Amino acid sequence: MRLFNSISDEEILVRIRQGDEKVVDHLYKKHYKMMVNHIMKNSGTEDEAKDIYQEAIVVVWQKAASGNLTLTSKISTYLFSICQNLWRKELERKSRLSNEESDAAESVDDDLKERTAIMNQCIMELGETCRKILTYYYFEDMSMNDIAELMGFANADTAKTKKYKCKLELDKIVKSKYSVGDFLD
Amino acid sequence: MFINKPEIIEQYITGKLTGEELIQFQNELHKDPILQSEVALQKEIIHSVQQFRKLQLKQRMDNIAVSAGNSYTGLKVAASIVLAGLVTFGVFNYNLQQKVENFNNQSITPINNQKNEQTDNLDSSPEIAKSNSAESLTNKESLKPVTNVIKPKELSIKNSESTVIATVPNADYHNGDEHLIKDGNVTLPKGELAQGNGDHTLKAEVIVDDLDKSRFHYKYFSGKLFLYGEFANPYELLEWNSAEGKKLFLKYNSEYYKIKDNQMEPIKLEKIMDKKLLNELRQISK
Repeated sequence: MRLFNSISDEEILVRIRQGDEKVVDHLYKKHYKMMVNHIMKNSGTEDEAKDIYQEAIVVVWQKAASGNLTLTSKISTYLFSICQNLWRKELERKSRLSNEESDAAESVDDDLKERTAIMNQCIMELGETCRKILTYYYFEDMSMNDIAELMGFANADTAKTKKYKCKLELDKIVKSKYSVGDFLD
Repeated sequence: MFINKPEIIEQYITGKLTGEELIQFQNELHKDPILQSEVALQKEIIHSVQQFRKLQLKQRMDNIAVSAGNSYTGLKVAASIVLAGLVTFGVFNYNLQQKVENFNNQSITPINNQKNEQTDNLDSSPEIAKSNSAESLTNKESLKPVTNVIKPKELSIKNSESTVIATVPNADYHNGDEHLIKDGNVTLPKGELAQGNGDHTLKAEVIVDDLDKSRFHYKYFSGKLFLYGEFANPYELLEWNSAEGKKLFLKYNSEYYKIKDNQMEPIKLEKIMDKKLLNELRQISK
């Protein structure tokens, strides 16, 4: 088995497409210091820097998993540019927030948190297979072929049928906790 | 016409619907409030699945031991918290005496039911320490203890920077069977915290699993905090409402630990080392 230290950027992308989450660990550790220190030198706390860096890794993961990432530079350079963009946006957001009345924003935030918690609970109520199929489909934007391969299904049609049933199940769970009208605001 | 075609609704939401069909869909959407509701619901479900996955990946990274190698970071965190403006704390004491022999998530529902039944027996008029500064934030109506073993009283503390409200339940757990789940030998609720107007109080239920005493982990989501480990001594939960959002801390054996929201997988409790933040926490929780 090859050590992660020696794998190329191209191989990292391939492994991400195979759903190998150990690549996340490898990437995260490898560039942590550089990315986080850069944000900290630009008025960020370590918590903020960590969050931005994690977001950047998630972006790389998501794009690579969907097959939509063609590297024109090293992964580290790409990660660095994502971190910079995300941090710039965060600074803008913080600056906007400090100029606004925070009360209204806070109450909206609380509502959103509560809703997110309920939705997460609904997703947690699904079986693991359904959870994986739906996240691969909606987040990683994987094809039914890729999902079938990752999940060990016979073919893309099986994956499609399973995805359909899992989605129906999730809809049912969510609708048991909300009425449809709750989503119109 | 489109309301019964979930695959078309999904294609519309994910931007995959094109051409004539997209125009037809938009026309119908414009006129049909039921379709509008369904689209809104489906948008939220799909968005939630995406966020859930993102969170899973971020939690994986949270479990990786890394360091930026600078000791001043924590001080910056503390400084930003101090500057955040109004700070509100809910301090909750629990005295844990019961032992957990088994645990599963399914056990939560009966606990809640039980608590609701017990609510009527509670002292619903917590004592409120006199403080003018606290009046605008709290009143007797806003605090309703929800277990019969916790009798909250409310304190208010004023310091130069902020007003602090601390709810300190006098938790003294009974050894009775009322805290055990029938078939799971599970303990439980160490208390749902004071329910208030939702702005300044914490709605967390704490569940301790001491099956593996060597562990010192937690997970926290949907207002439920799961602690894994022995937790033989009393602990406190501190909620800090700041402009940056709510922050939750656990105090145990004189140490403080940060509790991250939406932490769905057990993660080790990590001691807060930053001195300034520690001082703030100590001042508030003493």
